[in-house]
Amino acid sequence: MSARKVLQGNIIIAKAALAAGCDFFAGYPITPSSEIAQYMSKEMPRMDRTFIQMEDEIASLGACIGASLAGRKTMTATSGPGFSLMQEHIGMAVMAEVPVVIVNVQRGGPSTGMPTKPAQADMMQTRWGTHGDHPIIALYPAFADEMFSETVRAFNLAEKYWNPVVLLSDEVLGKAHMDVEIPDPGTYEVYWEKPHQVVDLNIYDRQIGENPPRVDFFKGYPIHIDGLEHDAHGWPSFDAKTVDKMQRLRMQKIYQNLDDIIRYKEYYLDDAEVLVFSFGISARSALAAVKAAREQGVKAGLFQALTVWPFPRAALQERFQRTKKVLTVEMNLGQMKYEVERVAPPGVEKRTLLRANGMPFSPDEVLAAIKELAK
Amino acid sequence: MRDYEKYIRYRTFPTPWCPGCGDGVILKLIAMAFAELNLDPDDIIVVAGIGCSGRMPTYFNTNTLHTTHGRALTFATGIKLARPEKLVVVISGDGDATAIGGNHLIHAARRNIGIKMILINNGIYGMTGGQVSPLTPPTFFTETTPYGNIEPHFNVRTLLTAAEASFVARETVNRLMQLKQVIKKSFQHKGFSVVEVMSNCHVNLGRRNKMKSPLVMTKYIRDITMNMADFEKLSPAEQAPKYPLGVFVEKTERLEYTDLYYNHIVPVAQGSGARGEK
Amino acid sequence: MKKFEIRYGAVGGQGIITAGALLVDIAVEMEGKFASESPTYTAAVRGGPTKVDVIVADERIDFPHATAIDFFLCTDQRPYDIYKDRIKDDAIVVVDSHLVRELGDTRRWKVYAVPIINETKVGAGNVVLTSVVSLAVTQKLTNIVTYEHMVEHIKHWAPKGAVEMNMKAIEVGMNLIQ
Repeated sequence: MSARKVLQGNIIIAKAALAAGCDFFAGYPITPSSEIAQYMSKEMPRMDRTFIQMEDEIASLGACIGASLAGRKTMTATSGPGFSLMQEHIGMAVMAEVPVVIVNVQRGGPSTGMPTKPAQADMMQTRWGTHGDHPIIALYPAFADEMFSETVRAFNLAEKYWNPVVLLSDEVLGKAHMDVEIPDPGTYEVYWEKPHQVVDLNIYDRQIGENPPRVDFFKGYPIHIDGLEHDAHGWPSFDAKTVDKMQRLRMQKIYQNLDDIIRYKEYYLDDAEVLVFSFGISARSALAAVKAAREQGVKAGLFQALTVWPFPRAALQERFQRTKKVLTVEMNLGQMKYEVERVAPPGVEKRTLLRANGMPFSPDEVLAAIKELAK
Repeated sequence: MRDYEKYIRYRTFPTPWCPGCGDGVILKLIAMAFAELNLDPDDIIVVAGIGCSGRMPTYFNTNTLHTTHGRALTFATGIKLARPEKLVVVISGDGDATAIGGNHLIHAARRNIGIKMILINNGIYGMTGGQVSPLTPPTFFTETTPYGNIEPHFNVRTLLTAAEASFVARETVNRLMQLKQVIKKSFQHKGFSVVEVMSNCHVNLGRRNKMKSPLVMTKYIRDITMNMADFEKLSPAEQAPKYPLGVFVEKTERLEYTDLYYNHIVPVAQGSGARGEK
Repeated sequence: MKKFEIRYGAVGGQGIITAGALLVDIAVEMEGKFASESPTYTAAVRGGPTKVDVIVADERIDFPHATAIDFFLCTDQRPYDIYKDRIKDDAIVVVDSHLVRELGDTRRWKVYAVPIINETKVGAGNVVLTSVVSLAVTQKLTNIVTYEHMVEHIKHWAPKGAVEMNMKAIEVGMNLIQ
């Protein structure tokens, strides 16, 4: 008997969330993410944890933020249209600095689009969906083991940096049943900073570069949390100097910790002449294509982004020292390709393989594009 | 220092409210209700959405959360589920609660989750400068009904009664002792409660409708409101422009949501296993 | 075997998602192989054309959809017409002989036209057992998992009181292919 079992991608995420200590889930049904909520509704009460189905996605994320501020580890899961509704509260979580994990199992859009078909077209919505200048962390696993490890990491990063973390998936990964070895507890890091005893209102008082401490309600000293711009006490403030500092504090907590936040995988890149940049389901097609290319004597390699936001700029730049051809493969009509183009120095030949018709790329399609670029 | 003052966060004063606004009165009466119930400030959380009412939490020396427009109830639902033993109070205005937050309002009522809502009805969007709200009376002039309001208004009492709310009451800023008692009573109720408080916005509603002083506007509120017993004696035509006051619904038999979840669902799930599991 | 690709085509409700799930469970949990199952479906769970791609391999599967199909089993004309692409030369193709009548050019394949749905109803007594019948047909023609593992898994998986019915379904499947 093998230790590996077969699980649906959505269920791997749900199991990983529970393993990471998620003890509050609020959600709203939407294809192709609903299995996550269904699994949570069954398992969470068994573990004395909390599940609620709310009246919409706005309410779901609102409930998560409220519960998070009351000491819970929280998650919600949705897909395109629901993710759009959540944008208002993603901004609230950024502004008030509240840890929460938001799963977006991407489907064809815009609007109702193609609920049962995959897409990777929320990449930019993930980065810029809420209004105002803001930092965001977004992770996008591709393989079953990564769906577990990146979910756990999403919770860790949310807790560590007091920020919402978007965990991206897609219809193929969500609905496929895959073999996976669920690691034993204790073999992976679960970050949990016990909420501080609060002694005064200065909950946001820190210098740029300092990570925020976790501060919750009901910890001995009543505090104020606000969606308005605020000062170190959390009180509303529009003072230009104060606002400038708070804006930079929120940005810098993410951008000064890129080494901790950014993860990627590199396959066959050391001597590669063609670098394929991809993520999620497309990275799986790309990996099969890269292997096939190698068998045919074409030196291709894959850069698979696991952290998609912040963009893995430095690591990619490093690769462009050597590899002078890049193929971006994504299931949209051009989103992350612009990030790749911004990173690639002049002299790097840039091509794309883009599509948004609900059909994942097959490996032979990616292989053809690699061979074309390698010529 | 008087008893209620420990629930007021004086260091955040002054408030943004106009002179004569009912919000200050309501702030004090809520603090007095906290004091009379002798609550630890750290056992209370006050949550609000956006608008003049939305700024109220800042001035309570309890845990306070200022959220997004219309969504205070959703945050409060998460907090109540996470910490059912805490007193979770939501302050909302009429636009906040019945327009953008209308869906959350009826669902909180349907669930009977133990959140205490104070719905301040001044019949107008005040902070944005005086636009029509779902509770603005018909024919009234506002910044977005310059020729008079052609929409009927929601009736919070019948709306929430239909949504199966277990505690529904209405009072006015004119009747201070009654208002404080009703607020206190709602805090002691186990399920979801709504206290609608008829309040005055003489600046944004009154000014455009020949009631530009607080006195004239509160007198108007007095004239359109009456005790339920008196209201019931009126014909339907006479009732239409009037607002009855008092506690309309107080159902104690319905179980509260977090009580149901933790004391019913959790044991069922842990005891016999959920349906469908082999 | 390095990689073996199976596609089930049907209309929603004919049990192929279950058949695929059973197959990957046996391959992974009893035989230590790598496997994945990817459904393609429509909003209508019942009645719409549906396919399930099952891949069984000796190493981690990169792309979870079928790209060169070794075995195709289809129980309805519509999914047959839509999903019969990417079938390899010399592949095994099994169709329901009553419900898939227009086969087109099949010279490259080894075709079995057998009354799957009808025999399930008559022989096993309930059409819901199509999933297990299809699984047994797959096992017999491909040997992708062993017969013993299939029987053991179905015994464990079937609800109490329905084990006998499911064993009968396996027998129906085995007998369909002579």
